[in-house]
Amino acid sequence: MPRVSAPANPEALVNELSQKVNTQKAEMEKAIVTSVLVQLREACKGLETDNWIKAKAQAIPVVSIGYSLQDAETLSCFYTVLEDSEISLRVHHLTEEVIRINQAHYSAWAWRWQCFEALLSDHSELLEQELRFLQDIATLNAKNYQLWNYRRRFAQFCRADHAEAELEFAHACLVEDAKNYHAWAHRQAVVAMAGLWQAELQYTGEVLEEDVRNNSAWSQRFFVLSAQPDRIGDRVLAEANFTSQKLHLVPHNMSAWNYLLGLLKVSAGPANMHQICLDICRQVLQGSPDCAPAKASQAVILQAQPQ
Amino acid sequence: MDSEPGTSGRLVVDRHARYICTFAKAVDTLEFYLTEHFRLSGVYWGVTALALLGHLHNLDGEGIVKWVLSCQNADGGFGGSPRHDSHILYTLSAVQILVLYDKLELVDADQVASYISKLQQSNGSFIGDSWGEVDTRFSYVALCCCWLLDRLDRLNVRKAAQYVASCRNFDGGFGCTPGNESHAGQVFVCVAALHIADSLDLLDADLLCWWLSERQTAGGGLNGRPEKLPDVCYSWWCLSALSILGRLHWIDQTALQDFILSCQDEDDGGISDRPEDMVDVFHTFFGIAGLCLMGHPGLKAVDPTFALPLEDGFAANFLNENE
Repeated sequence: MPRVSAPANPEALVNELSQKVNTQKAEMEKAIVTSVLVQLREACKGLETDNWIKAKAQAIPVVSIGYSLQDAETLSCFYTVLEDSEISLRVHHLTEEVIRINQAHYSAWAWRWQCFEALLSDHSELLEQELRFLQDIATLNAKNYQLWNYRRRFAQFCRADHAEAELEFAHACLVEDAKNYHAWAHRQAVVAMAGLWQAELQYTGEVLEEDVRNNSAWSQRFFVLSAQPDRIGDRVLAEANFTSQKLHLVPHNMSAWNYLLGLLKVSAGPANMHQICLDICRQVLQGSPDCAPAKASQAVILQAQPQ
Repeated sequence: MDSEPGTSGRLVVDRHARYICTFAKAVDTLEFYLTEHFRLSGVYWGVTALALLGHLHNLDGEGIVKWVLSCQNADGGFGGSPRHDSHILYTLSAVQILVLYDKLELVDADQVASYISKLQQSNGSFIGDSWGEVDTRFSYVALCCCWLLDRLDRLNVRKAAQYVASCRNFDGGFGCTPGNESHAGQVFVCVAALHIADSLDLLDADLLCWWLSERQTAGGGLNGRPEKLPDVCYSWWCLSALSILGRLHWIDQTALQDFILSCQDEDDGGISDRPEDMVDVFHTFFGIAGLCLMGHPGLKAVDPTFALPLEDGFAANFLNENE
């Protein structure tokens, strides 16, 4: 596979791109269109085909996502700025443009952080701008690794008094996708930093009201439980009761059974935890005698019982 | 064994080989341009899949090796494409490709190992690049890469294993960082990492493999977490972990094979995440690799820890000699 060299038939590629945009429309992000065109133009730099591509690109019907040739120039500009290692407001703004073009552009995110950190003390308005920008990017793609990594840095920089805003941000992403791994992980980092354990437990309870099978919420509950060593016996008991209630609602819920068995393994749990868990199994089986996970859990608990 | 309506239930080896070769010869396809920032991994998926299909000879190995080397930066690491910043992920892909083509001697092992060792943190974890993101994926990548380079001693292996173990959850699974939800992808990297670190005693094999076996859904496919949709890539993540732990028989292999086969594009080749979706090289590789682990006829054996062929070719000799 050669170094990026001029494709044999750039016309066909641009036509294909044009077709793809027509058929995929909303899915065909501006980011991708621009990225492809920039690469094509770089590969054809100095050739006649470059002018052809430039002309053709303007005719690509991406009206709904507002492509402009400007974007290709933006990216070139950014690479130049990187070479010079410039840190300034204009560069900070430039990184926003680059990231809007391609949200996975690692270097743009990294350089943006350098600018933000360096400029904030003299330009306090950057904080609000950053919040707005990150919110926007999250609505475009809430599963972008670079976004969440940046957001984590931002949260740690702003520290505990900013925690609510971070949890709100994560919550907004969870409203769209209740199992977004990054969002739950972000909540863990923020909750730990700000000590918002009780609130997080409450939050998981609300999520489980919506969907008792949301494994991420169950996992989050265990995270909260195991983070603090105090009164763990009481809290494990409370969790066992909580789990029991949820199992009565929906007996065939693997997340809940895994959770119960996890509670059993907490050292410093209540002394009669085995019996409590066995009782829960028995009660569930009374109502649902064919519940396989109840039977399986019962077997595991019996096996684990101290002699 | 009933196959899905509209599918033959057999592996269309030649079509997959053709699909991958087309993708690989790519300067003339759109997908080439769409995958720039992680292209090196794309190449690894493609060439390894071809090797497992027994069709590696269809590509210009020399050209590929040259291109891989052009992705190396001054810091010793590799970027996803030439001129891209180094990242631990693409550094592993580069080394895996070079092992496949028996060209490992073309890199300075000390230099690459040095790049990786600098990414290890004081708690044993690894960051992916100078950006600072921590993830157990990077623990696996670091250990795997240094093992292949015969420079494992450049890392603090014990601390690396301890960090991975600290990401073990109540359900036996593993997440990205301590406390994060168990996820089959993270399970694979953690199990493989502990295997390389000779520390499998740090996990509960029965509990974990029970959790892994629960990933199998009614249609035979595997998901990554409870209550999520099945996806062909989990055929690798779950299966490799089960294989390393000697419990591959804990899932219904027939049902899984049927699921993978039903995700093929039998006309143009390639495999997708689930039936009827668009194919891509990522899912093509992991689908094939999953079938290899299950001993599907006509495919080469694959190493579950290093994700390289275990039969025929340089990778196989390398692994068999050194493991």
